[in-house]
Amino acid sequence: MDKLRITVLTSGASSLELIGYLQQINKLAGVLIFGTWDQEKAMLAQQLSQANISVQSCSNNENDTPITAITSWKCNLGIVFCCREKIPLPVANTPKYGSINLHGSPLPNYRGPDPIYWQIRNGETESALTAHLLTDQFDQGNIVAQEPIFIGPFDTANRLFSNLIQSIPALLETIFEQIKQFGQLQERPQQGECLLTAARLTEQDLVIYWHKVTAKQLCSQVRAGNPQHGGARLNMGQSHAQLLQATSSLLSTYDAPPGTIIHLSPDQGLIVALKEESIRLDIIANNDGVLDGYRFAKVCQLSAGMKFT
Amino acid sequence: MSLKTLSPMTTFADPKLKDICNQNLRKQLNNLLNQLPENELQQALQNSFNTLVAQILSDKLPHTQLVDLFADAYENLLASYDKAELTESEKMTSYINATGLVMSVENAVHTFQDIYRVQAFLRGIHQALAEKKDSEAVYIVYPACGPCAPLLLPLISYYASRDIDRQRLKITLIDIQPGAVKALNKLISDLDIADYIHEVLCCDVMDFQPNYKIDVLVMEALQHGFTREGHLAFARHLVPFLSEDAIMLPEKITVTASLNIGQREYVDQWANQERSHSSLVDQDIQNERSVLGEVFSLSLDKLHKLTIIPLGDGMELVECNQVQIPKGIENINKTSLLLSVTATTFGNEQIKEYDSGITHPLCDMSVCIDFVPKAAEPDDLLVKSGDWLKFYYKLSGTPGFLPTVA
Repeated sequence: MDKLRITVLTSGASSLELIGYLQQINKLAGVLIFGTWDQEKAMLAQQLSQANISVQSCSNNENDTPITAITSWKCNLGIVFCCREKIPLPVANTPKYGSINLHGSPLPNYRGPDPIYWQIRNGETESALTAHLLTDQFDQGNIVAQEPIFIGPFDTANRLFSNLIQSIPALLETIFEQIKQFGQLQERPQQGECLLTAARLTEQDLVIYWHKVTAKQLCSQVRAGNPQHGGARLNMGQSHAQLLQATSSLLSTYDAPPGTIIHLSPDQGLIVALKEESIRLDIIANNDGVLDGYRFAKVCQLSAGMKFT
Repeated sequence: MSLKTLSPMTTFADPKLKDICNQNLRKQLNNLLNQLPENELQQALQNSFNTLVAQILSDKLPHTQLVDLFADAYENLLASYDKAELTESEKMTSYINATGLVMSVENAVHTFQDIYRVQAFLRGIHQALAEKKDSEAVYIVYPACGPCAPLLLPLISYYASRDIDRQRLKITLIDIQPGAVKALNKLISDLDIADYIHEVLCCDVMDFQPNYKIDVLVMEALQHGFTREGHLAFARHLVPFLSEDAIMLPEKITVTASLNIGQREYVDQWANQERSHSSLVDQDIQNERSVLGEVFSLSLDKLHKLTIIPLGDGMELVECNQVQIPKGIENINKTSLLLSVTATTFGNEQIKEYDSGITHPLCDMSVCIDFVPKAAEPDDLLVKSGDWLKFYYKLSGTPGFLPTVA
């Protein structure tokens, strides 16, 4: 078997840990950075150069530059990770063993750009890091390897992402073993239908619909958005804050309309009515800082009976 | 932008009284507290209460004079409250329970700023007690009285200074907030009126089961539009405990529905006023209102005749009146439903619209007349000119009126 030389195809700094790991195990050929050049990409490129890692920027829909780089680096496997750009198939197919994408969900479910957010938001307790072949359709290629991951009840998006990163060595070990044993990747089609998708997040997804949401759903929504998206949006009149942590409460709403503050005290905090249950707003951020529910309410002069919209 | 609550455009409280709450004055007050001995503070409190009550019982005072008297009494009241040394939890806890909002003690203290409300009750109670002058003992109950029982205790302080009815009046003060009871006990001590107090109870009014008949029921547990607090639930609960000739104050509360353009009613009308009061309303703007009629009234007599509709889970509805939305009103689709409370505490003592926080008209934005809102809300009620609106009153954690199309 040829010595494995891997190129990482990415568009952001979130791939640094994978790059570092491949360099550590002496299998990194270089890094291709795709997409419109911005500060994040420039810093990533600078960081890689300083670590003596070969790096090449690639604009969208341009094949020659990445193919030339892959060829000159004598790369035989491509790994796409944290890449928001579509990789042209000729580029993906250039390495001898082709290219795989590492996707943070148990495919076929949660195809799309924001799988971590949507898995937490939907209250999933099990996830997976999936390696699949690149095809013309996003996240639909045959699966090469999969590592199951447990999602804890308090896991935020960053926590789940860290757990995904930690499962990379085991996943890659499976892939390396396939190449070593069979001389090629062992692929299987994705089983079943894609019932849940992971669309790119919009501001609308962060809004709290007090009349519809259950306590469990809201806790998950807030956790999914913490910290990158500022949890969920808390609105009262024209003013806004970010709800970063919430917990189900056993307090009766006494038929108070959803969104109404039903309890406020230093001991029990800030508790709000939902349709049939109640929820404690634990941590809230606004221009004043990051505060617990009670302090936030006090700073904003809120009291029981007032209503979030 | 940080989350802040909206302040009302006008306020029932005179700016001078509101200023007393600000931090600077609090600091000055603290300095004062540190200088004055306890007995001098008590004397100052008693004197200010007695002067206030003597003046308002003798005559209806000009506004500025009334404000000065209240300001003096309020400062001394705050001094007593501060000396009660409530914990953060005792001061700031607020919540909704089965009958409505339980306001924080810190907020409840400020009821004393609502001078026309306090005046109408003090004058009313004084007259009501005069009607009981032949009774050997008069049991007075004041539920949900807050940390100062402001509608009654100034009058009792005045009586004490003149040794009036010392053994005859037997007052029960009730509040669910432990902090309120702690402050009340301090205030009773500072006013030296313990002889008048039968008991101070820390409990839910709904759990109060007296072993005596109530002769005078003093109660004010409502916010504007007769909403949010448990006034009606408390009144229903206490009816079986009233004596045959009991007096309930207010004697009558009336809620009237009308239509007006919000901008005209709440903004234009008060643009050149620094406070609101029934004597300051703009008659032209009042004439722009379409009065729909009385939605509900509460008196002892009515209390015995309420039609209750149980809805399960402890929630009940009280059947109220129906009113018709007139036809042919220009720009009716720009008007909002206003629910206005007026209260007769006793005899001729009234709290009119805009005199008090409780008599500010409440704008019910859920009723959409001849228009469909761009951003629909779950509670929206779409109605047309000519429709009849039938009202129900919700007895729940958020008491208030439920308009329906008849």
